[in-house]
Amino acid sequence: MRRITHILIFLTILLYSCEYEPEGLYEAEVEPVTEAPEITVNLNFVADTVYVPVNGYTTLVYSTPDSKIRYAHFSLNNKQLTRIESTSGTFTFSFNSGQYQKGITYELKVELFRSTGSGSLADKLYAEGFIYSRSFYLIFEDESKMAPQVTRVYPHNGSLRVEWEKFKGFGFKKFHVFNSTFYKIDIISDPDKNFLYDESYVGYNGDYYVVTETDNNTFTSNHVYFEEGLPEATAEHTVGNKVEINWGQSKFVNNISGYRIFESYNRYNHFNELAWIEGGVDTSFIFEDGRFAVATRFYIQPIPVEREIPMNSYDDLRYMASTTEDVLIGDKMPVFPFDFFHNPPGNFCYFSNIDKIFKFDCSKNTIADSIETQYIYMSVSPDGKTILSSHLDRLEIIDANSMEITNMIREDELPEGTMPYQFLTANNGKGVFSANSGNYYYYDYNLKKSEALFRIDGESNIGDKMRISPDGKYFCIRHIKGIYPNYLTELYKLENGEAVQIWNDNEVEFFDFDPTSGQFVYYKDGKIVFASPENLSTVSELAVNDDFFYDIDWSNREYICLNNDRDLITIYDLNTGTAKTRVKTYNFGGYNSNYEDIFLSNKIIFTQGLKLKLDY
Amino acid sequence: MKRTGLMIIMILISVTTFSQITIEANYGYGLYSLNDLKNMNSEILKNLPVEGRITDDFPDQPYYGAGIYYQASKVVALGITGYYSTTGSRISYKDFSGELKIDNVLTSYSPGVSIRFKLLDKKLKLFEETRIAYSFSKLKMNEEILNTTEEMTFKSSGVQIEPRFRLAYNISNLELGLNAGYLIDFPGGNRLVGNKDATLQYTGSGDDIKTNWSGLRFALSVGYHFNLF
Repeated sequence: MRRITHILIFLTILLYSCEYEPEGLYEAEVEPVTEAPEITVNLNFVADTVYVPVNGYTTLVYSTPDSKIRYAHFSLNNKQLTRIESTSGTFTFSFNSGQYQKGITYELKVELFRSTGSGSLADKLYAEGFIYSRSFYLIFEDESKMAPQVTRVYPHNGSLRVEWEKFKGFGFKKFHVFNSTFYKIDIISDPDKNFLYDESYVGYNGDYYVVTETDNNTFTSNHVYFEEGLPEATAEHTVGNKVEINWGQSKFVNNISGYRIFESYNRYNHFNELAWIEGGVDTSFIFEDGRFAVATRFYIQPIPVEREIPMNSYDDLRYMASTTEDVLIGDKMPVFPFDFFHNPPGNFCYFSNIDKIFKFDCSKNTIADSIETQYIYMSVSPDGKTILSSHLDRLEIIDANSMEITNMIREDELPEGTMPYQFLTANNGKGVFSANSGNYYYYDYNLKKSEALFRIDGESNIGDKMRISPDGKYFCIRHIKGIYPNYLTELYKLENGEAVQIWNDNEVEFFDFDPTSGQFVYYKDGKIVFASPENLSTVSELAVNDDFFYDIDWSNREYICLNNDRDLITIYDLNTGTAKTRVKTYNFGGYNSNYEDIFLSNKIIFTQGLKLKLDY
Repeated sequence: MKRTGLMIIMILISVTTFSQITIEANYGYGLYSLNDLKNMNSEILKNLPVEGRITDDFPDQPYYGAGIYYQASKVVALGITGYYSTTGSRISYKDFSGELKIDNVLTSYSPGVSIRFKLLDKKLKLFEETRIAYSFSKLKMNEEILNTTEEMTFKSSGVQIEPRFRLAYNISNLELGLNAGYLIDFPGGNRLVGNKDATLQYTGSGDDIKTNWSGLRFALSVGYHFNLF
């Protein structure tokens, strides 16, 4: 029995020692990867030397789009800060920077483990990979020193370039670039971009600073002020009512979407927008509708591509726009002042100053000739052939064609032995003059003989408007009667050796005699009336739309008027009343105006000190 | 206890009556189900970081057994038996960077009792035998990945019933036998050695992974008859 037991025990041990041994080996064909690939790494800091505010927590983010990065290891001065595993490629940790000393450089070592991607067993188990290592230097600083400073603001490539330092800290999120506190130019998310072009800058209002936003804080830079100013501008009257306006090329040409052009009459604080010029390249503008006899200055306002500042009032233009000097629209008269002006039919007109009578060639727009005189008063016969001028002791009869004296009348040959006060000459050498005594004479200058003596019904003053008919029989004068400004216009006729008043009116301001027909012409109640001087019967009438009637140019049979607003001069055809051309002006003859009269001769407008040759 | 005592008395009565004992050794070939463990291997394979292979998956293996039978009557013999089975599996992967190997070695020892009925008593004898055993299985899991090795052992137990037929031929006191049967296993769960609360389970369902030895059995046997009286 014992033997049997021993056999059984032996068999049991034997059997248990015969455990199954699994078999088989599967060998996969996997190629090793031996070349370390380039990897792209995104940091939340951009420089090798990184400044860290000594206060508070600092968050460091190390990310990569490379999906094979498995973990990151951070150490500071060879002491491990953290080891972070991630499959997202982003490794973030925060450390309390307050425990480090200011001013000392610390070495931050960042290591990334990237699997090879071979697909091997070791690769799958992160036991096979490449280590990427990079060191940075950390300097802990006070928060006040963390802000990137604006380093330079200068014109560049037709715009204004603003540059600032790169952010040398952690956790950069955005640069907020400001021009003054009111305008945020841009928000920049790229930490490597440390400049921008301010497309809103056109020459003024430059106050730049940068606010750096980080994960945990904001840092504000210094302010840099930049005022380039606006280009110089000039305006010049060229021909007609054209004005050429020029301004300098802007340094910020690419920032300018266009120019708004304004005219302004500073004397009246009046502004008016004239034009819009597209783009910033142009440097000139021809204004073809200048206002005659108005000192005009022009404002050229560059409008920025970005952020147009609204103009609250025209006064803003004084710093938002280039400004020209005042330019007077019109040509200066070669002599000024002139007191008496005559525009008989023909190419010439005549005016005088204190010592000369000038003959003006309208076709050439220049003075053709002159002759000395000693008295400002003068007269030209209605046919334009004879000029009557005065010296201290004589009257001179001048051939208008040759501007030579053909005859003279000494003072002692005149009726009262004194020089005339005002005088007129008709085509036939006869005329009318007033003496210092207030007497008026029909007088034959050729025969030096008085034909009639008369007095007008009122005061007689230098400057009283007087006209004589071509034949010398009719004489019309407008003078003060009674208390100024009461005027009376009287028409006299030389009849049987007497001057007979045949008509008067206290409303008529303008009157003349048609040098061709001899008809009496006057303006009243919005009409030009052509009347026979013989019986004052109306020959024809012409309605006039404007309120102020100034002059008739008998050469072209045109008349010139001013509207009620005193800002538009119109030249009409005398026969049909149709407007032939218009010229803008402003407050002409109104309060505070330098100008009073308008004369028209051969398409040239004359006023005190100015003329304007028109082309129509 | 009463039943156990009665059985012992019956055996003693029988011994005193026939006085023949047979010692028998078996060498057989078992077809093992072990479906849970094979499924476990498939699950492991799916979850590997690399594409490995199951190179060995609990194959059918020879088994060994022994028994002592007491001829209680001309027809009935009672026996005490012990059987030993072993098989295993391997998941393998190897490349230039290293090797992964997960070996499972499964062993089972199943002591039991048997009752044998002589159906034909000619020169060639035919028996029907039913064996009831309690199996003790041990699963050793060994993981070798690169340079790391980890080993765990699970144990499980269960009741087995194996009915079988046996042809025998006697040469003097020596008896040669040819056996064929089917083992029905009622396995329990696998518990981790060292932590009985930990069991081997499917990850998803949480069902226990059991060691099921069920399957056909074929065996050759050699016995020797001892006459005690």
